[in-house]
Amino acid sequence: MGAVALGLIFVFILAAGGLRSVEVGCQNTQKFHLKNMWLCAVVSYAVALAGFSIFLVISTVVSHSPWPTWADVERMPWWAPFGGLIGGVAVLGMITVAKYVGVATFNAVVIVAEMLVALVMDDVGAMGFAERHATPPRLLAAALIAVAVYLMAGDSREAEPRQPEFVPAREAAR
Amino acid sequence: MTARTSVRPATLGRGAMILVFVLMLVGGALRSVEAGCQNSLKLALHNVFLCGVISYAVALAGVGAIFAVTLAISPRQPWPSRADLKAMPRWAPFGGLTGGAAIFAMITVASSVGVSTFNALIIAGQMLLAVVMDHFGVMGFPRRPVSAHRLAGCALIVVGAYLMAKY
Repeated sequence: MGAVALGLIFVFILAAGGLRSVEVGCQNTQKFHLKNMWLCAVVSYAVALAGFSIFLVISTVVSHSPWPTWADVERMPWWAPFGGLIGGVAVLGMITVAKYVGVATFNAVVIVAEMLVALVMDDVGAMGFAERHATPPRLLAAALIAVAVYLMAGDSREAEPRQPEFVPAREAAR
Repeated sequence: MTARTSVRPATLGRGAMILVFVLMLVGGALRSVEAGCQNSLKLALHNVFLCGVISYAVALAGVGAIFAVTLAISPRQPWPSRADLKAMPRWAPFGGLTGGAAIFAMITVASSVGVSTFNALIIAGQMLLAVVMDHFGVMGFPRRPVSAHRLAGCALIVVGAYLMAKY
């Protein structure tokens, strides 16, 4: 793959990661208004399903996207369709215990587990990925990321409330 | 060092704390498994949007079932009032769809960089934007200005993602 194509892929993944933070903002706000966690999940997934259905229709109409044959479907591992559910329920389930350890520890532990499993999956070439061996620099990279997340989340003081923009001198002196 | 006003975490017994950590470790692991599932789905079905639709349909059915079970077990769930719904910003329900960009990336390009590099880049993008969002206090979050700690965190994440991609 060319350097430009790979660079574009990196930018795309970074942007997708950024949108995950936007998602957190949306979910947080939604939870505040809907009160019920599982109702929020149902609404989010329903909206996402509707969105992707529209994309699928558009992609089918505009360009002739490839469709799987029946043989493709039969060859598919039975667990493959459960990705979205596994990821979503894992996140929701974990959030319920976050309050017992604090957000810094929580994020760091989750990311350590995520990265270690990813390194093992790459190392053995599991689940359709090519083999990429877990070299010391990769282990170091995973450790750095975990430390970084711990640092960031550990420093989560809120700012002082904004001062009023304009205070007349006489009022301020009083 | 500045004094830190930390919220004391709720306390649990030792056994329960071990369970909490096991749950977090399993949960984190499952997020990588998710990437593997999406990747395998794409390899089998070829059509990326069809994969997205299937993945979200299964997820919707799953959380719908869990929601039904929670209602059946304890019918007195918190429920939004009409005023709550009116007060909700219009963009709030679109979280799943914006998060769908990450799912879409798993389906389309995760296999070209490997799952570790993919995760590293997702986390980098997520945390860097999160620091900016906190700094300006947007989308209902209180303002948490950029600090030395947070900048150091950003730098470490970028270095980590670079190492992961390079080696």
